[in-house]
Amino acid sequence: MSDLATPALVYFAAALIVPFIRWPVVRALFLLAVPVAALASFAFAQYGNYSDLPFFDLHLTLFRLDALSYIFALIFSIAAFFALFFAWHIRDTLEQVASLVYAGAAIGAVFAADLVTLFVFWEGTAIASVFLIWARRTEGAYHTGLRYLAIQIGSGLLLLIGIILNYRDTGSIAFDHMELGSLATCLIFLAFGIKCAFPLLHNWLQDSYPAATPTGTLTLSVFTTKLAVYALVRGFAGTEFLIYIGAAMTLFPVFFAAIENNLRRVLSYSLNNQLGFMVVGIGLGTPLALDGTVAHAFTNVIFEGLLFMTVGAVMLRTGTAKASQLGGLWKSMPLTMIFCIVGALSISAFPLFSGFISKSLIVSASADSGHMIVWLVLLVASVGVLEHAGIKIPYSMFFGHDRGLKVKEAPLHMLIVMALAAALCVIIGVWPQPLYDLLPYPVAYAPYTTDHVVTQLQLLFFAILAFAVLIRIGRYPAELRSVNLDTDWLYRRFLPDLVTRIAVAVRTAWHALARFAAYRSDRTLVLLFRTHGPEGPLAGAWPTGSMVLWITVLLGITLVLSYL
Amino acid sequence: MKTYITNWVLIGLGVICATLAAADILRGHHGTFDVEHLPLFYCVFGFVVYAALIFLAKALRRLILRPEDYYGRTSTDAEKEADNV
Repeated sequence: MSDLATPALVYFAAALIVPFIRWPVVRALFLLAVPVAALASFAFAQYGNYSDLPFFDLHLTLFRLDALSYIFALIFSIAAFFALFFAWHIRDTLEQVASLVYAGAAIGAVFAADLVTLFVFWEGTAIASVFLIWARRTEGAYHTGLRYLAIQIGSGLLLLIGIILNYRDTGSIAFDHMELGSLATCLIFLAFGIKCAFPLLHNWLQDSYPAATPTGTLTLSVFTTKLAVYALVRGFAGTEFLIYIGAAMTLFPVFFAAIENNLRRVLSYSLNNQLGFMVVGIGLGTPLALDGTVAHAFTNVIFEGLLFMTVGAVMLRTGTAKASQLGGLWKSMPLTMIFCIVGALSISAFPLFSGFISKSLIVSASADSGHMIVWLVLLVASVGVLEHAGIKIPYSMFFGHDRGLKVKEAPLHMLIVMALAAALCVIIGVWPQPLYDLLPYPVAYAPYTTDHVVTQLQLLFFAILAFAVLIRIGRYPAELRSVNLDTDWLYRRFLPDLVTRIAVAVRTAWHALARFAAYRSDRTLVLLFRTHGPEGPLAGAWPTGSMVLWITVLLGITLVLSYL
Repeated sequence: MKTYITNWVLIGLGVICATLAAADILRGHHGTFDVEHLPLFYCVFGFVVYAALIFLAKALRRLILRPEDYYGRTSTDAEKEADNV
């Protein structure tokens, strides 16, 4: 393989060609061929490092193919295919090019064997993806995109500083396992953490993803966060701190999602919660846990993507993704409803669906390592997932309050993609072994034991019973047109308000000072005017005689003094 | 207001849950932690945690609920969402 090759180049080359293809159908077909071609470029290659590139004194390796990079690149390729297929009807060149560059950059980052290459693609994902938000072309989307870009580029800058410091410390830019401890690795960890939406660093996700175009949100939901998960698995597996970060991440979004009205934002919180499960797995660091993280990243891309697709399809038909405007759509969009329920069952980890066979690896690993509190938190979070993603998403769109919406079923291409994703959810759930065989560590894990199936069904069905009871007694939260405050309030309201207040205070002080100075200078001028002005004593026309008199006096004194 | 959670749905759920509760005896008590061995642990846990989550979320809503145009022009929340076709 040549020195410059990485499968990402397939996407970049295609992005250059796409604007020049004028026929919409040809262009859409060409777009679909891109992930397939890129996948073919690495799917059959031997594991190993390719594309070594000398760069000043450094040594870049653009293409590292091993079990970990393979499975992430595979799922990114599948996701890119789904996203481009889902956007078949889109005629917006900007969005198409941005999707290609974004997917390409994410795949390039996954294959990077050194931190400099990682950094380049890391920033590439940030810059390409913001255009999926700006493609909405509204003022709000413009501002949201700017906030998103600032945070994403900020993550990249932290990464860059970390890489430079790490190079100074170790003399290496290789992207391998790191230990937290030096400033360099802490900065790299923080950069990964921002993109992975760690608690308190998370809110860019819920702010920006619902602001993109309906098709753009699907693309966004896949790459950035899962790239961060990959980077954490590669760099910080077994870092104990991550267990607690991950546990917090699974828990807090659950409450926000339960009361959120915008269903795309509900799914953004849900994504945050799912990332938490993966981060717990990374922190545990055992082969079972890491396999669980990778497997869950894989299944999550499909079922979370499927849920984003169903919301996108409903948005396309009804013009809204707000629970307060939706309901009763099962009659007009029955197929979309079925696919949505498959996605909901998968994310809730019902047996025979894909979430069950991936999440249970992480939950089991947490129990095996004796982390009882973490295990309990994951159990609570699992009930939370069922609440906001398993029940709320399908219930509020397709059942809930019938708003009398008369719309058409989703377009054919969307139905095909959703059917493909739903089929994958079921196939992986029923027959998990092919996925397990792809995982980086050999696993001997049997998800379908009587114990496991019974306890999982008990947990889920009793929670559903609680939902039904709460609906009947009228205690289930109503859908309200609203926004809910989260940490973004700090930089969207508090800090701007603070800056405004400081600006007002400084302006007031400055005006007071200026008034005081003006008053003093006025007084001085008046004084000068009084003494030197036309009427002033020093400006009067003195008679010549008085001057002669004074000169005479002066001369007289001089005469007297010289004779003394 | 018409609800999709009819008495029949409730009865169906009740039957499923009763069956699952009865299936508790099938559990081999292989769990890692002692709490797992409590009878009907997962049943009670699922029901109670679900209800608790909802009530806590509703309490949280009292603190953080704001009108849709709270962030003004810098937000997409009050904008038209999409063209429906």
